Amino acid sequence: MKARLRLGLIGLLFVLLPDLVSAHERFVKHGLKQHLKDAFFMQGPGPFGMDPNMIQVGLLVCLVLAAFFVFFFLRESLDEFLRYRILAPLRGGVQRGVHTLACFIMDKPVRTGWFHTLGEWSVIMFLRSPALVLMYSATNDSLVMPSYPLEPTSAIYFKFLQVLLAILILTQTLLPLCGALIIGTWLYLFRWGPLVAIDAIPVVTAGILYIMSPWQSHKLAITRLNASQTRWIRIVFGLGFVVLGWSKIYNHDLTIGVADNYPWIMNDPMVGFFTMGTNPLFRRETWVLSFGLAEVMSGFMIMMGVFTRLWGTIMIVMFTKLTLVDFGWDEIPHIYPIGAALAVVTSNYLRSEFGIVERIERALRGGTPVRRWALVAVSAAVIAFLAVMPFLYLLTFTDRSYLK
Amino acid sequence: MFQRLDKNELEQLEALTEKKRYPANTAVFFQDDPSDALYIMLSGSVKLYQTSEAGKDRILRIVKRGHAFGELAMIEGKSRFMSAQTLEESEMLRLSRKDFVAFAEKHTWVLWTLLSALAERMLRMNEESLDLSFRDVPYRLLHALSELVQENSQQGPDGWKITTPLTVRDLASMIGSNVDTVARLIDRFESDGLLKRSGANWVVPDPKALTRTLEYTAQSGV
Repeated sequence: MKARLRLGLIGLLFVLLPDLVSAHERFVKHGLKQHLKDAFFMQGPGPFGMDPNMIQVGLLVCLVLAAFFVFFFLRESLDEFLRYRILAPLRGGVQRGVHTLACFIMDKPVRTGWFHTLGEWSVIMFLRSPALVLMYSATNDSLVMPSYPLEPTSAIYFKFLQVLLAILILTQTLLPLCGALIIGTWLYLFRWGPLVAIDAIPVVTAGILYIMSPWQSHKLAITRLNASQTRWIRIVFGLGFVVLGWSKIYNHDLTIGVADNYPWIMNDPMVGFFTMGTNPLFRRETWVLSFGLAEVMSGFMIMMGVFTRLWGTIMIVMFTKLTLVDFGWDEIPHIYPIGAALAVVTSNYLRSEFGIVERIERALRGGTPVRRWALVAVSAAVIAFLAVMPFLYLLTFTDRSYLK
Repeated sequence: MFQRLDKNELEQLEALTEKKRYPANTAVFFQDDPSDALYIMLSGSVKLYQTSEAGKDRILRIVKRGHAFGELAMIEGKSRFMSAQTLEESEMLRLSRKDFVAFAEKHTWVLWTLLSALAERMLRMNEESLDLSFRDVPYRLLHALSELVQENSQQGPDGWKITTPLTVRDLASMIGSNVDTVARLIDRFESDGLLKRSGANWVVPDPKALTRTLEYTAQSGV
């Protein structure tokens, strides 16, 4: 397709969208049964004006993050240990199996037939799953998510538009246009506040895949992500969860509202670990904080490409559990983040955004171990601290009155 | 690579190496591993193969006593571009990258020998890619068997026994074909008397007959 036509179509989309999407998003707040102690999240008498329990949870998250970074930066040394200590006494199929598992965990290429087939299936699923979600939301008078109900007066336009988009996606027709429509709709959501747009970031991953596909997509069997698609989908997918995590802490009443309605979600083991040793008087507050930071942590790992497969698999298990066990059919639209995570996890083009630390670590390998260890420990601690604490501190200054 | 070393130099080199023994069917290293050492075969045999993303193997070479492997990726300092797996119980010397670099700095001719080995391998790769492009599977199989007889065989009462134990799958992945096609061709060669089985090994009763068939297949452009 000619560039001018492409530009025209995208331009037309932006002209039409404001008229068509006349504000349908009304985020449905989950029923709050008991208010949180707002002072916990605000500037107060503690160090740096932060509640000591908040600092404790934040530092524990930093510690876990730093530990993962240390393992990741030393993964070539771990690889050596694996090769000469664990794999060496094994042989045949067992040796190959353990090696495949290690490659999976270490984000190295996994070269087996079943993994390749799973990867192809995952991309096919990820490519098409947004269409299923669009069809589902069209039949439920909502815009993409059931939590975005359509205005009855203009619902008909949106339902047709969603079905049309779903057909284009299912038939792989004009995928870049589908991508532009999805990203355009997402940008438009900012008009109804950043929290609405933040909630929908994961859908942008599908938009990226579509926009990076060729115009002749209907003629192609798209079954693999290339290195660039993998990178961008991973970054946006991870960023989505980082921002969603922070928004959960910012909009804490909404988060605890979910827990009030589904109390069993408070029994998450990772969240329980982060709240360990905090004041029981702030049980609900520290739960919100830990829940949000756990999401920030997993999103940050995926965004930066640190043990992507491990964290991606945790995400897949978590979303599947939310859909099948915790929330039921209302969570069915989460099929597309599951598809995105599967496509990233099964890609053989995973790399970290911290290549520079790994390169310096490699260069220092010939010298004294102290310098190498110092580099790894300091880099891990600084990155982990910067990923969590400054933003947590800034959040204590935010005004939440308009959320009430 | 180390043929020109005198006794003293050989002793120096040996002191830098580590003797390793691997049972049959054991990986020495895997594709994508960091390349930190080269290996010099003392006994046994090792297959060097590449695995595609879809999990399909292609055997590049079979190395035996006196051969070195793993040196190219090691010099480049990047990840291994192939895997190495023993076909039988094998013994080898492992020379780490750091020690090799130090040794090569003192004996620069080692690098020239390495360069010549690299050139020879490139030539061979070009021939293989030509074969893959213009020759069909029967020719490629006969060619592989003929090379195995020349390089890895010993004479016995029934003919020339290929000492490296190779399965039909191994032969198929050596010539870039599938197992079914190779199995059918082997049945044909066995009924033609060109090849027969002896336990886990293959025996070529008459290498000249094999060469004539190979020449005929090449001439007829089959």
